[in-house]
Amino acid sequence: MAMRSQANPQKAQGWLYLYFPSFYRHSLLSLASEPLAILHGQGHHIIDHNTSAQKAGITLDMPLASALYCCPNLITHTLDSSRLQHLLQQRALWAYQFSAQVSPDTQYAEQGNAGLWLEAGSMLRLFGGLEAFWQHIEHACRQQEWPVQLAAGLTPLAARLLARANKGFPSLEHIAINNALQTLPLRQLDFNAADTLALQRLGINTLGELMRLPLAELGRRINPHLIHTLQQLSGSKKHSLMQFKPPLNFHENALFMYEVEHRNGLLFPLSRLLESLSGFLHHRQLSTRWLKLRLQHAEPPDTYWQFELVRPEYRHSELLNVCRYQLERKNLRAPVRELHLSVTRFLDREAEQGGCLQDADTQATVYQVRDDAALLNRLQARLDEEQVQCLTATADPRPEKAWQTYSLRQAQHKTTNLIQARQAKRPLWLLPKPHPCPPPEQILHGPERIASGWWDDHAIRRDYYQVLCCQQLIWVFRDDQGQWFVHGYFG
Amino acid sequence: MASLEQVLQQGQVWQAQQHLHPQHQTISSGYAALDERLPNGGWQPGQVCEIYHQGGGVGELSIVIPALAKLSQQARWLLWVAPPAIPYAPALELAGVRSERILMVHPRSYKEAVWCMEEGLKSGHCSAVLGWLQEWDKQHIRRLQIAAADHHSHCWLWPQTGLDTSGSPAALRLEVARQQADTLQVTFHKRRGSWPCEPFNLHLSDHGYALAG
Repeated sequence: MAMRSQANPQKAQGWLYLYFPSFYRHSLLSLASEPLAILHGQGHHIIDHNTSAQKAGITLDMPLASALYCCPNLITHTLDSSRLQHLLQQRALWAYQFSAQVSPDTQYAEQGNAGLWLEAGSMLRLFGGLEAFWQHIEHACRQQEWPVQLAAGLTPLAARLLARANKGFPSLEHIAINNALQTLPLRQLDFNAADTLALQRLGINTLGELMRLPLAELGRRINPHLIHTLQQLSGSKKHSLMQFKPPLNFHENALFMYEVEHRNGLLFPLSRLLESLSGFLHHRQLSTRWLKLRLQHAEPPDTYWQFELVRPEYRHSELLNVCRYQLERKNLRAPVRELHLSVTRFLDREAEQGGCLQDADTQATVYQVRDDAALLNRLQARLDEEQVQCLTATADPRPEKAWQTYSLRQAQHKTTNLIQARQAKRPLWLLPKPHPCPPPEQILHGPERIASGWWDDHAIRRDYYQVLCCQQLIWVFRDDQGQWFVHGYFG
Repeated sequence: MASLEQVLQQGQVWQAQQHLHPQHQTISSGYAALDERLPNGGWQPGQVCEIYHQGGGVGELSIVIPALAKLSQQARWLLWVAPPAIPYAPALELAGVRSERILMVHPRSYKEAVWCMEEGLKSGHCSAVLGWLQEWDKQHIRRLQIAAADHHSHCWLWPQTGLDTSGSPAALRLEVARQQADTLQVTFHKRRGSWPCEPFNLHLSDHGYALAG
């Protein structure tokens, strides 16, 4: 009666639960003839065993000492929960071929069992009905030799309970499922021992009997948690599931029916791979900065090239441009038979900066701002890192240190620091190195003493002058030794 | 008739009507005397301007500094291709040019330099492209002029060669020499949309940025 609230076929999604009994034990390669037992991760008792161990008298929850006494040649293995998690992720990846929504269930991990939820409702049309979907999965499990108990349910919990009890059947009929659920004995409902005992004392032995009781009363007398479970079972309360996301990877290759001898020959097949990469990125709203190319030759070793972009990109034309410029700087070691493109690192695409900047003066010109990725990537792809530089002023009074350049890669993490502009006149051009010169004739301004840098090894003490020489305005200085140097031009 | 159309299509003939009404706002050069003589009263986007000078320190850069200061307010790059020395950041900041907008490129060859300038102009992400080219090739100047015009970018060129009197596709050609400490002499060799004019004097102190103090 209490389950009437879920009788809404439009809303019913439908779930399939794949219960893998002895999940952990089956992942170990062992001989059926040898007795094998899995030990609990912390306690030294047995949580799972194979049939030959059972024949030797091993039972669940048996302490290790007793088990070894029963069966001296027992092979034991302690459950490694991180390995189980990893195995379950792999299993979820496998199940991803059947449903777009896969949720690993680790409720029973401590016993070495595991399960997966598959959203079934939206997959029925694709597979041609639940029965076909069911058989498809069963067949796939059989091929892998995985023992599995399947069950369908209108709520995740219903599917799980039926699968655990191995009472599943390929139908999403509300009444049939309800009937099957009602017959489930209390001990199969995953309630804790105290609750089960309390209910048994009330004379309740099946889920059907439990569901006939008024919910509020049940919660007050036994355990409020029971209400929550029953509501999840009926679907009146949402069962939040951990959703599995497949690891992201892009890998494609092009196989040549002929050997490519020149790097330009790689450009066309590479363009097709990039086209598909661009689509991959576009669908996921991602971009990347790291392209990995592997070239296979007739003879090993393969050639590995990594193309790094200074700004994230996802557009085919721009990716191709970067590759083109990078290829121009490479030489092929040997003819290429096969080309692989892979990307394993991705970046979320920043919200497209709907940036338009209104020019303060004209109020008319609207410029598209940022997204200068294309320009920077192109420049950097064709030139070396040190050939493209950004500039910034620093607070150091020494002319050599009053500015800094940094690469585009560094620029990404750079915050611009505001420097108080100095009032003294400075030349627009500074020579990378002061140039010796004869003493000046026509001094316009000076001296201006710059003595600084006592805190490091580059202390200077100089008198700077502005000098006019052959109609050129020059910045010169005289050092401690009385030597004259040109240091800049007032360009 | 057909041949005239051909010539027009190839862009070999300049038509005055194309330039009478500039679609894009010019920006003031910061010097009244220069604004007076620049067509449309200031630096116009989409035009390549060649600036000739003898040696460094003759005011060849000062002439565009006020404009750069204004352009550096935009969230776009000022691309400096193959600068002959280090653009001195404190001096630029003092003149109001935001140095973090400057992107410097040091190409290995003349060809690479032209490519960088063209990419910068075409990208639309540079408010101005500045270049110091070691060679002067009419074909390349034409390409730069077209790229600048198509993308309404400012482009200033300091050819490190003498003035080629056979003509240039650049919209402006001028020569700068220093008369006195803060006075420059500017000569226009070409002004698109106007006639050449007499050399005139430019007082740097007219603008707030006086070089010699």
